[in-house]
Amino acid sequence: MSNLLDKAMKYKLSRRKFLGLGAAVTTTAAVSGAGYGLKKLSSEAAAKELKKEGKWVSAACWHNCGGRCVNKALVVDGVVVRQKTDDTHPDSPDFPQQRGCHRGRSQRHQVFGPDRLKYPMKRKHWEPGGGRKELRGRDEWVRISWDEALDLVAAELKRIKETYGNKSILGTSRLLNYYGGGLVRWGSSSSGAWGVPLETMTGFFSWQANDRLDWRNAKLIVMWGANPARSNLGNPTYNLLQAKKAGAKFIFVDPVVTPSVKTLADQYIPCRPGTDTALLLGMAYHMIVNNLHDQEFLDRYTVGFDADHMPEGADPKENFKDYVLGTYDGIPKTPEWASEICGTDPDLIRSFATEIATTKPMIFTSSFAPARTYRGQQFCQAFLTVGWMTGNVGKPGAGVWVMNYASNQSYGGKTLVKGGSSGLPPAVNPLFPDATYGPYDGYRWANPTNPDAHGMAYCETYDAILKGEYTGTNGKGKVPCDIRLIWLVRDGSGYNFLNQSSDINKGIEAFRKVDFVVTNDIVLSTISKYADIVLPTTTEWEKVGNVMQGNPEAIIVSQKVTEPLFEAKTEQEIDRELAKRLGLDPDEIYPISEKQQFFNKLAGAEVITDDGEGYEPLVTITEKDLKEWGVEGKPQKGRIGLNELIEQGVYQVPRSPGDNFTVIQGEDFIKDPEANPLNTASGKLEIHCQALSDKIAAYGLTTIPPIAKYEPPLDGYEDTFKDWEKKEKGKYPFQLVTVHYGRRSHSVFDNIPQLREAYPQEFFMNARDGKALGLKDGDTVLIESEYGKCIRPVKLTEAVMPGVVVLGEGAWVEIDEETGIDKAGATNILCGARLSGQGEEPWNTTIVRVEKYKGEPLKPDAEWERRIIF
Amino acid sequence: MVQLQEIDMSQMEHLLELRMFSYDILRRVFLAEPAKEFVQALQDGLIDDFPFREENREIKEGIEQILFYFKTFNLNQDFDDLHWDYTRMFIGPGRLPAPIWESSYTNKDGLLFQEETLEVRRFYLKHQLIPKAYRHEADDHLGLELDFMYQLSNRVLDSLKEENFAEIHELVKSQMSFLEEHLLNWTPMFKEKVMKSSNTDFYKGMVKILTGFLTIDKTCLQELLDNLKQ
Amino acid sequence: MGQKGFYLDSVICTGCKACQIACKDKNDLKVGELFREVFSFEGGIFPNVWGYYLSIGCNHCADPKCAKNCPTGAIYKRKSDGLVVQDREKCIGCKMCMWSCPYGRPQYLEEQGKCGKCDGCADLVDQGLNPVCVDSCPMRAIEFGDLGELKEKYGELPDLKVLPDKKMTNPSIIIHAKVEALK
Repeated sequence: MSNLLDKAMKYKLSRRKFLGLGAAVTTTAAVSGAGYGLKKLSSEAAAKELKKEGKWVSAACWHNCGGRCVNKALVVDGVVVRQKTDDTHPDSPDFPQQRGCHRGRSQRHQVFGPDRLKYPMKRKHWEPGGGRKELRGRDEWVRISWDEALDLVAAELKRIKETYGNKSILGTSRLLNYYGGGLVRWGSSSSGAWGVPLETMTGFFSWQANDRLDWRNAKLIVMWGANPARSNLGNPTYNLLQAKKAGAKFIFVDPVVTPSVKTLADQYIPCRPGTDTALLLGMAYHMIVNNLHDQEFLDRYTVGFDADHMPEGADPKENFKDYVLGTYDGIPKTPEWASEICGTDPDLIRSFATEIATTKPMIFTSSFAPARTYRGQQFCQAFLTVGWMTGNVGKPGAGVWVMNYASNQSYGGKTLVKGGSSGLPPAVNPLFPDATYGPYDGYRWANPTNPDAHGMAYCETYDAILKGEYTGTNGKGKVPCDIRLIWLVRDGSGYNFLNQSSDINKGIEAFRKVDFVVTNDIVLSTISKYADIVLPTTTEWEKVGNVMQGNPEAIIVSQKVTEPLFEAKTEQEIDRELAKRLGLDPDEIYPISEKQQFFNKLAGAEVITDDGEGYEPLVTITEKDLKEWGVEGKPQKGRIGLNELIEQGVYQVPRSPGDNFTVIQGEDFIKDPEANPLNTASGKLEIHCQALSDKIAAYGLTTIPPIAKYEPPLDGYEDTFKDWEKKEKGKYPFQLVTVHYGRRSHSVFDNIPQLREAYPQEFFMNARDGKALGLKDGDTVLIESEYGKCIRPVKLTEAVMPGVVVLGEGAWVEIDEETGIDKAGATNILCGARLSGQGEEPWNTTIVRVEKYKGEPLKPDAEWERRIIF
Repeated sequence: MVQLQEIDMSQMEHLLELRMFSYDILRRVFLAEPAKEFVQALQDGLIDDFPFREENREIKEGIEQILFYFKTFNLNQDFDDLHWDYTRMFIGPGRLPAPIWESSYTNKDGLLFQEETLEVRRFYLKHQLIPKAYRHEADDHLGLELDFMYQLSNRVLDSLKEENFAEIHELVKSQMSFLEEHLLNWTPMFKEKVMKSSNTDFYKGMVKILTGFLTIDKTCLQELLDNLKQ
Repeated sequence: MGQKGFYLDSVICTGCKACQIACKDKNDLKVGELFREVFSFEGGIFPNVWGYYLSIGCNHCADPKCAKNCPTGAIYKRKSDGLVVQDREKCIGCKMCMWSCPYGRPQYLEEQGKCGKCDGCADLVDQGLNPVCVDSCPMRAIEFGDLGELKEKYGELPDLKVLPDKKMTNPSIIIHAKVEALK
């Protein structure tokens, strides 16, 4: 038995040495920040802290998944000990709970992961001007204090603005907009080519749907390119199930037999990516030659279908009917003609066409995915035209619309409850007056035909940086530019565009050219990885609270769950500090506090009146509430008390069949089109739409004719052949579809172990195609396009159309420095940045080649020790 | 009443001082990025004073590894490497190869601010201590847990000077519990991660000293407890 | 006080794994440990492809082999409601339960050196609540309750191709299955 008391005597401790060590435990004063170590508390204070009990709070689920559902956390003193989802009312099909999905249930992993950005960090080899720019993405990092970080960021922003002007800044934010603004990246990501067609052809008429309960009246529901079971989590698939139970037949059109097809479809129609237009034209042909189309409807409510019903000034030969019949181009768009392109059996095309023409009422709805293709406008035109040919508009159980956020898929009609606005005045970007700004920049495409708009399409961003010019809109031609700063200190941590926009390899090259890249983020996502300075920001769980909307029937009210982790600040706090250093007045940019903004959203929340005709205040606010909150406001009467609403965390308007919230989209237009004209040039639905052609031409990227025509897209099916006639495949024989993938909400959640386990980011390929390449299920394969290479485990399945391969978008790129190959399967390594239409990113027209990978096989994603939170 | 028997007061005081010294060194090493002054002091001989190298093989190996490191270490040239080693392993900004919080090793997905954090916090509160950056920094950071042991070691020394043996007994018991329920549970796994991912002999050596010392300190505490019994 | 059990509507299950994740969270399970697991089955040749999903936790069998073969009595069947639960303290990690269960539901928890399994969230059931999988399902495809009542509502468990012969352990589950899943 060792007697340490004795043995200890031989270790002499020079008292002088021991006490000689300074009291300061930490390193340089600059980074001691809030201070390290423990401090003493009085016994009363300690006892108080110990007594703290747990409280259920509504924890925000804030992602760009389209959903937004209820997640609650049992919090003890800032620590989440348990989670649950909506249990605020009994669940029923008419009044369903807003249940969080598998990602929402993994939310705390995001907030409390050890890889949270904790302190401001600076790239070691950066200095004003760029330093060693080539080391972006692979440099060492140094922790710096907030003061140093803010000083550096402000100084560099100031220097660049004063030396090169605001047009050398790429980015937009509230702060930046008060400081002269910056160039805007504009375009369309989620909605593909849908924006301008919906605007010009329908006046946005076709972006609205009948209300959720009315979908149950449909006899037939056609889901084109839609996979709500994976892309619209929350209630949409459940809502659609109710329609099915009420007797609706479901037909799905897709290159893949998706989980939605397996669950809901009564019939499945295959169609190659980027060829849906051809399929629709083939269907139109069948309807026309068999007189199945609703001529009366077309005559009364549309223009451009045939030569007798053209809009004013249009060439009568440019009518849809004659194009389909091949009257002038000599190519009748028969089902056989279509089949060669789209891969759908001609008889199936015919029976499908007959079915949609003769089944009433029918809901004909498309997702955005088929329009996320090169010159995707052609699909939009064809889809709307064929839908209108059936006459299913403006009646119960009928409609032709595009409704594909989770918030809208299976929903429609009026917003039954909505949050108020924050009360912050708008901050227009002087260089781009029409743009919205924020985490989803350009999400609602801007109107760059405005001559005062300075910026480039998403897909031209990197070329603009590298080549010093971009395509100006409105006939401006090439506009020179000298981009020096990529500014991503923005509202909310989103906009991971280096990962989420086409051509990551080119993007990295561009990022390594500019003087300065600064981001704010919650973890080191791809875009922050290639930055010079990263600023740690709070998640919604660390903010004062928020009001969010998912579907039109509910609002989610979230609370603060925990204090800002480490040194994270909110974006507004960061902006205010930067403003001071730039000589701006922070109170001008943010005249009201974040607490006041939250309060305003609550106070301004409105709920639909019982008769469904108007709105009234949702929240009751008393003098006591105002005093407790310490905010400006007036007492008001609503339906639910302020504190009660916050505790409940959600307000949902109950619905039942026959209630006052039924909306039949377009009813008035159908009853009397003259008295209720649409917001289009002709006042009607425009099958021939000159405004569409003109507006697309003004963007300066590609052109589109005023009627739906099939023109083979760049990197479409035709481009997989080196000889079309002989059907000899070329260098890139497979068509790649990039889908929303269950592991993530876009790129968010990619690092969560249990989600990586549930969703392995496999590369899907038809089993026979795989066998022909000598592949076995689970092999590591190399996928290559003109733009880059990835490796992934392959999943061989018959659920994918032969010639098509599938990979989920959003994985965080992980380039092996030696081989240049991405290991994570980031789809934007494969998708090129091609300019199209209104700036839509044409992801679903991408071609690749596949082979067995000769290097070391991949470990399953869930086992990537270094990649996951550990 | 607890009394001291057959024990040389000065012996006990010496052991307690050694403990306090050891925890002071360890907390400074792990609480924050390395401080130049501290590293210099270690190189100048402070590390040589670290006790129990004869009694614990890991401490011995650790000290030798660090002495080896210091042989060719030039503060001006090589400090940056040391700094980056700490930053990369324990701060970020990317994925952390060796997270430095207890909860990263005790809950299923390695998250921070979890139930285990609360347990550690409650331990601190019972002794009227709290992290200076309470609620912003995770309470179960290794540096804070070591600081806790340091603070309590300090109090034991004070209690000895006041001859408050009941208090000594309580404090020794608390420290024993904290070692058994917390520090000793996860630091072996932490050590493995540091050994795999550190680029410097400094941190590899330090983490050996850490686990070695925590192990032997448990024995120290047990001896103290035994000696405090009637 | 009758046998409690699960009903799964495999026809409407989309395989989203909300149930799998909710269960992992409640039971503090690491990667590789799945008390409830979602399986995917597919067949046919494109475009005539069928597919379905099965979400399987413990089936709380009438004749649970896991309980029968557990040497320490850690796993036992509750008299009150027939849920097959486990006293983790008594588990010695011998894995007999894993060998015995024809459905492969007990899991080895490596860091604890013990086994674990779905216990029907017995602690929640005792409070009058549902197992978490039930309340997490976005399709409302999982139900839990008195097996007799569920049988009245949904009929008997059919014979499925992919599941072991129900006569082996008499599982307390009912599955509404697609025709391709049936024997």
